[in-house]
Amino acid sequence: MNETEIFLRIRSTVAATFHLIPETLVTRETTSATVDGWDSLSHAILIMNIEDAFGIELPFEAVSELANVGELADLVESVTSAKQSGSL
Amino acid sequence: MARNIAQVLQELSDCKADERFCTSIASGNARSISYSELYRRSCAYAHYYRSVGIRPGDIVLVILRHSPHQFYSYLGAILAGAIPSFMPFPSPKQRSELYWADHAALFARIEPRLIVTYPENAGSARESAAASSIAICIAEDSILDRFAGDDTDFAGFDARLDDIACLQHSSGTTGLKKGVMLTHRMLLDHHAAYAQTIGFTDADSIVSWLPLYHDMGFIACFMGSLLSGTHLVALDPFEWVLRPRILFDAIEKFRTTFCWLPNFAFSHMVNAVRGSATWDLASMRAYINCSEPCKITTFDRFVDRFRDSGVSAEKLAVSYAMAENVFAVTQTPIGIPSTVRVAETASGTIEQRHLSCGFAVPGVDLRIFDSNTHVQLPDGEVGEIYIASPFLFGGYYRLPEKSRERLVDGWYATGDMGYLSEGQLYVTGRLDDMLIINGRNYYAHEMEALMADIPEIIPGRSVAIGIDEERSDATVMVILAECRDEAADVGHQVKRIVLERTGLALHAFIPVERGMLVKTTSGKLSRAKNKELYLRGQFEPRKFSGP
Repeated sequence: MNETEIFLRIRSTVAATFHLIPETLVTRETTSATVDGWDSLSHAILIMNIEDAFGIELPFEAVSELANVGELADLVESVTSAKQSGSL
Repeated sequence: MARNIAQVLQELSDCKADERFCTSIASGNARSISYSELYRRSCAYAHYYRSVGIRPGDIVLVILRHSPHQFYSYLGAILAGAIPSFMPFPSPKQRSELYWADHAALFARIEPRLIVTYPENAGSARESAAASSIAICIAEDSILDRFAGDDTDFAGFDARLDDIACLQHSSGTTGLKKGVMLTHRMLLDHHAAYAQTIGFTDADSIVSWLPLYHDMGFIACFMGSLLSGTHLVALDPFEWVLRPRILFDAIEKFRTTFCWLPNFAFSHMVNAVRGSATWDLASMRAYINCSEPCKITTFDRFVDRFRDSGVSAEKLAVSYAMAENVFAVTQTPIGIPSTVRVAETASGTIEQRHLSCGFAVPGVDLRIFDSNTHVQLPDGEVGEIYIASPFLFGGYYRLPEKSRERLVDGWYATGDMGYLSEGQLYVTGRLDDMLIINGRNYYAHEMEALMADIPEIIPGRSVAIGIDEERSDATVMVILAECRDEAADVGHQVKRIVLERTGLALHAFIPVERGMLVKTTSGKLSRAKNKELYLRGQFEPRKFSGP
């Protein structure tokens, strides 16, 4: 899965979690402050949705400090890559 | 002869030396602490405090993440005769400089002599306490080695039962935090009464993800375990929010019997524990709902979702508690479902179901007064809840006027509204503008005051309201504000300021046109009426508009 595919799947998961239509409203710069309902508890729901979508588990320390959707995409990419190289 | 907290700790170290005080879990790693280790390491901190000149009565603030050092540094202060208080650790989303700047007013008032924290906070903490001389203790393992010693002639052993043992700070805006003064006697008497009420013995054990600055985490869980000499399984609060299933993992592994949770935590477990996995939770005697309005629907959803793991209505209990009474005021009986009472509104048209908060804890006296006439009300009539008890606090630290406002002739005016029926208390709301979000208290007027920093919002034209959000079954905060015509999009700014100053993620900001918010007859903006209009959809909620 390349960088673009990862971002598109994340965009669609963020949009579905917070009921954002159309999903193109979500960009790499989107933050919790720009989305109604994105608080610490719904952040946990989003992370679970992301983990389900990619079949991975994200390190909780890193997940707590994400500044925006772009950083979330970067984290997912690094965890996905590590998982793939580990399974080779 | 009654013993103070320091003496109890020493005695536990002698009698239960090798027994577990705590299993502290972080990132899946469990660290077990015995009672002798707890005592030894707390003594190391007490030696350290003495070495830097901490004297009996000095205030020591503990600002640490989830770690065994929280226990050692806190109890070390009690051994040294100092007065410790846990304070919240800044969340990753809070701006550090604002967090510390907000502490300046509090530090000026309570004049802490020492703060236990991490190196990255040392400079900011010192600056915040510029007017007073303050020492910084860096919580690290080297203290435990460097200050180990056999000499345990600590001042804390000589503390009288009516000396202040610790301060329990209220939540809400930092500068206005009130430090409830708790004496050794109050802690011990409350523990005896509450343990008797819930049938808690040293065969029981507690699991908790609650932060220690919260009275439920501090008194019910940490002190509850310590004063009973039993086992506490402590989880990282930040980790629990992201992986709530770790609570059930811990119950299954350590066979714990009691757990205290605010209402939102029951909802979060239902919403965020995924899949068909089940746990063996048979060891649990009670999950006690406390510190937020407890909802019947939340209990129903929790039982439905986790029935296969052994959760039943008989195991769900309710307590009404507050730091001013050390902790518990009332408690529903353990082992039977909490009473639900159907009440009618004045017009008799709408039925409301109220969940009982239970009976008064032994020694506690409860009365309901009309908040305007101050006349005591009979059963079934809603008024302000007043309490008196043998462990009621004597006042807030260095806030004599605030103390006098709330404490009259030995009675504490709680600010909570409710009624009594057949000896059980039912809480129906608040007299003031306090909102409880995720177990923490926020005052609407303080949140509205933050809007003054935003030029696009018309001064004094905003209201903060609490909304029961259906999807998550949690109470969330919404701010409605009249904005200037040219204001394009201030939502991001409002949310950022609220998050940075208070740590709260605002659910929604609703900008409205000038003159749209409704006033009371006295000309003030009405939170209740504007909330009603918002719930009716009268204010078009602005949806996500992109960055």
